[in-house]
Amino acid sequence: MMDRKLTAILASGAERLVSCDLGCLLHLEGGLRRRGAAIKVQHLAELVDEALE
Amino acid sequence: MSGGFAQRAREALGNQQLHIALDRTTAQLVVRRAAGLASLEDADRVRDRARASKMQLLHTLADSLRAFEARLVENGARVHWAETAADANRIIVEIATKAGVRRVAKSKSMASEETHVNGAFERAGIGVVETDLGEYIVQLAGDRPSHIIMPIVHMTREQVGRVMAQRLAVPYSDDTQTLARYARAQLREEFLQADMGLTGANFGVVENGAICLVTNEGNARMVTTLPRVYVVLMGIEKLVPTMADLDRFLKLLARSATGQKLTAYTTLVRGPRRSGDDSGPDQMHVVLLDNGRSKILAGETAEILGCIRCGACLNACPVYRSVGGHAYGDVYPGPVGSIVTPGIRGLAPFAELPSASSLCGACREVCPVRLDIPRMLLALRHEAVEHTRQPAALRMGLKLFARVASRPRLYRAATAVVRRVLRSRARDGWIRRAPGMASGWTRFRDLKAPAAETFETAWRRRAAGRTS
Repeated sequence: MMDRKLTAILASGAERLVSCDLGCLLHLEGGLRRRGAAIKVQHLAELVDEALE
Repeated sequence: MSGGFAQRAREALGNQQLHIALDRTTAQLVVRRAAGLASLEDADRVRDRARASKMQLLHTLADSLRAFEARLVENGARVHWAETAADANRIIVEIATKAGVRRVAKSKSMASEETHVNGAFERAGIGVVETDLGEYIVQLAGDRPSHIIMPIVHMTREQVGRVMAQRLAVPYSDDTQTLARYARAQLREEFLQADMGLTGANFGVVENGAICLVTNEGNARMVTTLPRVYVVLMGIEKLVPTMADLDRFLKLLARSATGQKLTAYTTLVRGPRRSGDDSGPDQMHVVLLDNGRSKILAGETAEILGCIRCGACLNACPVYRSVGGHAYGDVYPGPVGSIVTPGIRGLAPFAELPSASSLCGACREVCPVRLDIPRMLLALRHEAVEHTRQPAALRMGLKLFARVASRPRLYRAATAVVRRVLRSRARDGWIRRAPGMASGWTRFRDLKAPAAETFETAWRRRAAGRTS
């Protein structure tokens, strides 16, 4: 399941992956890191925080 | 059926052929379904109304069944009530024996898969043949269906070609048109020779007692008209109140299942041959099957009886797409199966099924009648935990966690220790190999080390900074 998701994420060409589920973030970022992919992974709150700064 | 879900899933994950076959079909069906729904004007409203009428009907199911029975009898059909799968099979074999039936032609029916009626026929010395192309191949291969509407989604066309070459003594081919032609030639004979037709029902219309069947191959039409005896085996939940409701359900069913606006053949049967009719069976029987449905209706998962068996939740489910239908261990696979199977077969032997889901909700998104499948899976998980003994380590672990987590100071101290341990093992903030119980995590992915400071402390600091 993770492999399919990661392949789709990488194929999308996205620079950032945003989610509001911490479990998903931990899981997917861990998988991306294992693959050596450099996509920024953030919680929605972090994205909002960044935008407000 | 060997082992539990976990073992079967592991085996399925290692099956390369299965992945080729599953990926080919499910991905395509997901796209087609989306396009199909998009072609329906006001699709959300149609779904809401279909759902509302089904839920209302289930609420007063006993009354609807009595009314449906009365219409069937008026139409000239005989009605039989089957409490269990064994009752249904006994009734059907009796009908066949009394009428001197030697050969039965079946159209695809999940209810008949559920009762395993083919075995009952064979034990009674009555020949039976499946006429849906997929089911026919399942029968030839001595296999089991693995999808509600695509019984051989687990087979590649190359595998189908080999089965046909072997069982029908035809030249091997992996061209789907050629394979369909082989089956057609065989099945044409079967339709003509059968003296009994057996179908399920996609819907039973309460207001006029009509049995509605949808197929893409026209086989239901043959099976309901050519043999002299016709038997319907249907679950008691398959009713819709009116023809107007049926219209909505038909629009949703085909789109959700295959993306078609309407299946190629929609067959409505309202009784046996009347005097003056050119064709049609001499007798028509309707067997109404309970087999655990009343029990489901009385429990937490009653909503699942609104399922119209379109299979959309299977195609959308990341777990189904990874392990296929056989891993679910019974007739109904996928998210719907994880609820229906424990309902009709009992939760104890299938207690793992409700956990075979990440609760991502893709099933609920695509369900034409908006069944809240994740909610029902959680209800069954709850029930499973209440009624089965969990492993000692898990029970102790959870008890310990509850103690720590409900005492803020202790919790802070404990997490501080864990944080320190994890951070000491990390390089650049990441752990490649976690120790002990956490090692399962790092088999397939890295583990992010906790931040130096908890969110709570960081938040306090920020708040203090802002007010000062």
